[in-house]
Amino acid sequence: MSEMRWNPLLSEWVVTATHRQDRTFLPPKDYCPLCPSKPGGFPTEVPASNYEIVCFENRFPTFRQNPGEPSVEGDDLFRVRKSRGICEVVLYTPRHEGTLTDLSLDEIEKLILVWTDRYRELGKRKEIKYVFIFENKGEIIGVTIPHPHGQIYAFPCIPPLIQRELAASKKYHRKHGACLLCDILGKERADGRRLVCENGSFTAVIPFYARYPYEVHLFSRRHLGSLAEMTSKEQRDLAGLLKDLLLRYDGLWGRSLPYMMVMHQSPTDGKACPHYHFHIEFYPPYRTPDKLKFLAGCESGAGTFINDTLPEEKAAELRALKV
Amino acid sequence: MKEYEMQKKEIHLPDGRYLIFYSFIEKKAKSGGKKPCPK
Repeated sequence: MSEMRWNPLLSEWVVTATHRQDRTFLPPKDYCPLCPSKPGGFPTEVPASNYEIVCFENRFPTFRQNPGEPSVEGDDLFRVRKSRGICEVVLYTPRHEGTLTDLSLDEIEKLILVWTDRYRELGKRKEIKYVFIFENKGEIIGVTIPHPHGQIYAFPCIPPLIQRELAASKKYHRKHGACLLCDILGKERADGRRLVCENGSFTAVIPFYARYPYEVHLFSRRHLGSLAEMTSKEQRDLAGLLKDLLLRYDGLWGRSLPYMMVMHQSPTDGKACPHYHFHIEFYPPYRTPDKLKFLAGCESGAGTFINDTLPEEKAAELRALKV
Repeated sequence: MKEYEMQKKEIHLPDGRYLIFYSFIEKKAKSGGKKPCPK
C-alpha cells in the first residue's frame, strides 16, 4: 500500500509505503538477491550468471508506474494522491564484497554513464518531474542489503529540499545576475580553508554552512545543470574525484565510512532552470569514530541543524589524508 | 583517455518489472594521419 498525503502545514507530500516493512533484511551472503544467479543456485533478482552494471525496478517501491488507489479518501484539507513514479535499484558490480570506493576508475566512469542514461530516460517521461539519484551506505544508515548498490527515485513532483534550492538560486540569479553555486564555489576556492580535494572539472568542499561534521559537497566547476550536460572529460574527472573523496572518507578512521550520497540536478518537469547548478552532497552520520550525529529535537522539530564541529577543521582533516 | 560505448539490454522479470543489463565496449581511438586527397 502506497500513497501520497499532503501536509498543509509544511506544504509538502509525505509518502506512505507500508509494503516496504516486508522488504529483504540483511540476508546471508549466499542468499544475496543482488548477486548474479549462479547455475543451480539461489535465483536472485538478476537472472544471469554475470553482469557489469544492472538497473531494475525496485521490488518494494515507494513509487509505482501503476499505483493502486489510496487507502483513504482525501478532501480539500487532507489531500491524498496515488504515488505514481518509478523506483529503481542500480547494481554497481556483480561482486558482493566491497563498496563504491573499491570500484576502479573505469568502473566508476561506467556507473556515471548509467546514472546519466537513467536521468535522461526517466526524465523523458511526462509524469516524472524529478530524477533523484542516491546511495545509502552502511547498516547504520538503514541499508538492508550490503551488496554495492544505489537507488533512483523518479518523483511525480519536485521534492521540497530541491524546491528550496531552486527558489534560492532563482532569487540570487535575479538579484545578482549570477549563479548562486558558481559564486559559492568561487568563494570556497578563493578561501581554501574548507577545500577537501579537486581536479580539473570538480571541487569537493565541506561548505561554510555544513550541517554534518564530514558533510562534503562536490561541485562541477563549469556551470551545468545535470549529468546529461557533461563532456567525456568531465565524466572521467567526476569518477576521479568521487574515488579521491571516498578514499579519504575510508582513510579517516581506517574503516569503510557510512554515508548518504545524494545528487542534486535540474528538474525534468520541462521548465528551464538555467540558474541551477549540479552538485553531489554526502552526509556521513558519524561525528567521531564512535559517536553518531543524531537528528534530535532541534534538527527534527525545529529544522535547525546543530553542527558540533567547525567545517574548517574537518576539511583540514580530510584534506591532509594521503590517498 | 578511454571512452566507452554503452549497450543496453532490457528484459522483463516474471512479475512484470523491467531489468536492464548495461555493458560497455571501449571505443577505438581515432586513427591519426592525413586523409588522402580526393582525386
